[in-house]
Amino acid sequence: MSERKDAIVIGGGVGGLVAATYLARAGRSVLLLEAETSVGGACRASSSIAGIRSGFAGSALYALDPRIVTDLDLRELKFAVRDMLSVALREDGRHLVLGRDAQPAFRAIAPQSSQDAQSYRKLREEIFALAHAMRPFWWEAANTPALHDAAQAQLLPRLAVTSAASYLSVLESDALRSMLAFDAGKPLESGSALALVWRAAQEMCGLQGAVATIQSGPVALIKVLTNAVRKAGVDIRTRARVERMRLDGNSVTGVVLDTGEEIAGRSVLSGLTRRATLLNLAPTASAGFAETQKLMRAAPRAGEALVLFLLNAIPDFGGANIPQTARFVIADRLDDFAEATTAVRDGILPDNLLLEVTVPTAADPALAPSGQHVVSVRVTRLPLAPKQGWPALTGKLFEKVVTALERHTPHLREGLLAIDARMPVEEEPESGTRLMTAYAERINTPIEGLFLCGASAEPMNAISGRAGRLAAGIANAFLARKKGP
Amino acid sequence: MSLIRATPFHARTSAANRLNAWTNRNGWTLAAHYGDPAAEALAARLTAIVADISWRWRVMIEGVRTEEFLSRLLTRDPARLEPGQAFKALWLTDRGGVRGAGAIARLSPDAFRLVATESDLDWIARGAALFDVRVREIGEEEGGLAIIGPYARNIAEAAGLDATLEALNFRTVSWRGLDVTLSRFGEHGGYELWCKADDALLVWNRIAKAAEPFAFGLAGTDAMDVLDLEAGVPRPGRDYQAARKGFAAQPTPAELGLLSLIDNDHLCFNGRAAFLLAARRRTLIGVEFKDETPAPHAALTHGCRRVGETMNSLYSPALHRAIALATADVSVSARGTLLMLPQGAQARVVSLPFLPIPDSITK
Repeated sequence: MSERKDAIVIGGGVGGLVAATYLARAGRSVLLLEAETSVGGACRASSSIAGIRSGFAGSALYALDPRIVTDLDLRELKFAVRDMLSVALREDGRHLVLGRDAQPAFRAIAPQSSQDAQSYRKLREEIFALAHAMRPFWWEAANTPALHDAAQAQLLPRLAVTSAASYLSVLESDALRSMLAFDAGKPLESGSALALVWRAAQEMCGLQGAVATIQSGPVALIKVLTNAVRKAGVDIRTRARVERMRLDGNSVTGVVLDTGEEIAGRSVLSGLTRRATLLNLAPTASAGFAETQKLMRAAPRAGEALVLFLLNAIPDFGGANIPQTARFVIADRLDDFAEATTAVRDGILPDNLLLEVTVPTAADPALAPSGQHVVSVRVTRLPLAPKQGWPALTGKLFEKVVTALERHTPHLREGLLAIDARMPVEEEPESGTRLMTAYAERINTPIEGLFLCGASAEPMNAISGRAGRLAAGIANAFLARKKGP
Repeated sequence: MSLIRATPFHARTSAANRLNAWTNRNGWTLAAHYGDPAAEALAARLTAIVADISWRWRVMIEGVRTEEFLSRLLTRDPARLEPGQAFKALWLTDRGGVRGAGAIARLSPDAFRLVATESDLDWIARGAALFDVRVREIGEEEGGLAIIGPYARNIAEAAGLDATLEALNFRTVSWRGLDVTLSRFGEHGGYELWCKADDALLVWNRIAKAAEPFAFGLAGTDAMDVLDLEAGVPRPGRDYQAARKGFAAQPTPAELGLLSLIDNDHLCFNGRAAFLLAARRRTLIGVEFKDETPAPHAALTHGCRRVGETMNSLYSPALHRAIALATADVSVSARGTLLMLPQGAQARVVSLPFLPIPDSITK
């Protein structure tokens, strides 16, 4: 058995890398264990298409923690697009181009519905104001949201049990409604209205509610984080798959790798989901019988797939007037979300896919060989384990995605050079309750010394790193409290 | 109650139950008394009683990982038990609320039997499933008789049973052709005799015959409740509502006076972290009333302050007064403290148990 570490970090995703760096900087001995051949988690996942460097991670970022950028000195990080336009692609050609700025947005909405322009103004003000007030809760380790405005204090609990679909029902245009609903994740579920506020509370490149892409793709983020983690003195071991955790009573004492090697640690931070951590790695029922049953019942059924296309020319989503650096949302009607939910339950592909499309090479041509372009498609609300199994269904999914895209950029098929996909993986279920839970509650586990630091400890599933930073703080306080051998 | 069943001894208890005083416990039809509950409770202290305890909830827990499962479930470590031994323990929710209490007996390295007063099949079977451990209710397969009182041992011996058995031990024997288990899990000294349902009437006949010279009486549930109360043991369902939600934090072991069933060296039982953190402002007390009127589930005040509530309360024929268990602030738990009931009656805190166990005469 090797020397005991202050902290063992399981998983080298963004959260794990951030947590490891903060802990090492606080003077703790940290070992980061990554099961794959290199760190990066979802951001690293590379495509089998030769010559492209964009990787699989959704290239649009909207929730990266600004404090990490300053604290960890990630100034090398360059953004290809700082404030992406959002475009709702419509079959009738009446696409809606929505920027973050208020006035152009109202002007863009007016032709679709003048009443919506008014309603959206009010809605946007309400969401942005509440979002700003919620920052201490969603950005730091505040235990409860502290709202000084009485109207906001009333609005918050209401939104926490309201579906985005019903919150957005004041809008009459399908284009606007379904685009906003798309960003709520599961717009038909109770509490999803709050997801809109959470999105608006994020900040990219200093801009509230902006969506950005990183130059050279998300891999670049991993690169700078890896530099920071090495500089901080963290030991990194790749190809080290943790098989289980060791406990003494209710306190974690280390991990056991699949090779049988035991590593002792005073604390463990897991970048995996709460479910995977407590059900697969911890001894049976050590999270508590009720908690274990709850986790088992909450088995997620939906996930999102990422499909990459390599094209021999730049696509023209939405026509020549729309910059291809935008993100395109294809979600025709709110009904499509309900249909997708049913399809997930039945374990089949939904008829109408819900897609977010970006063209990373539009702003960053270096991601693909010269003259070629990458189209990255996020297909949300897919069954994690379809009845036929993903291998059998992949061809059908490709066909459906291509058909859906061809409605908006004709001749896509002809210019198609290669196609690759990453099938849905298990993610923490999103809910209004999760959004209203303090970071500490999501980071802490029923097991002493075990903390979550990945996306599952965030209020929503997103690349953020905030949970990693806050988990490091909580783990460091725990280590300080638990002095001695 | 969906199903009311007759116990394997029903043919005999119904013949003796001339008043048809029946009650229902855990879905079993039981004699509440056989004419005079006070006399039955006294007989347990003076001679001996025989009571049908087939209503107790009993499960077999079997599988390779049974010890690991029970170690996680129970507030004591079953690894310490040798086959033939038993202990009493609690099981708690994730937040440290008491879900149940019972005696767990080790039959073999991988098989245990749990005897409790209230069913908690849902919790235990679901927990066991996580460990691939089987849980099987055996209430229908077996009947049980309790023999309690100064002559309990003499009766067992007269019936031809080897009665040398330490408390919390048990033994399965072939008793003149019948397979029976003799155990000493009860709070009242004495013995429990468990047999196959089909053998129940034969077992009853043999015990009744052996007990005849000792002036034994039959005791119904009323008398057994009096004995339980006199022993100072709170029972789920009767004295307190056990936690039924997985994350309930109440009732705590401290306020039920069940701390002695928790082993401080046992580090990994469910709910331990919450149990250690829980405030211990309340504790279990016994109170005696001046008169004979019981006051169940009544508020107790001290000065102008409400300091606790009584649980079950009964008239104790041995003490000639009503008694009650109560959960109350630690500050008023000292013996002799006077507390008030809502109608102005007084209750005096006494030490528990109210009475010593009706022990065997041979001691």
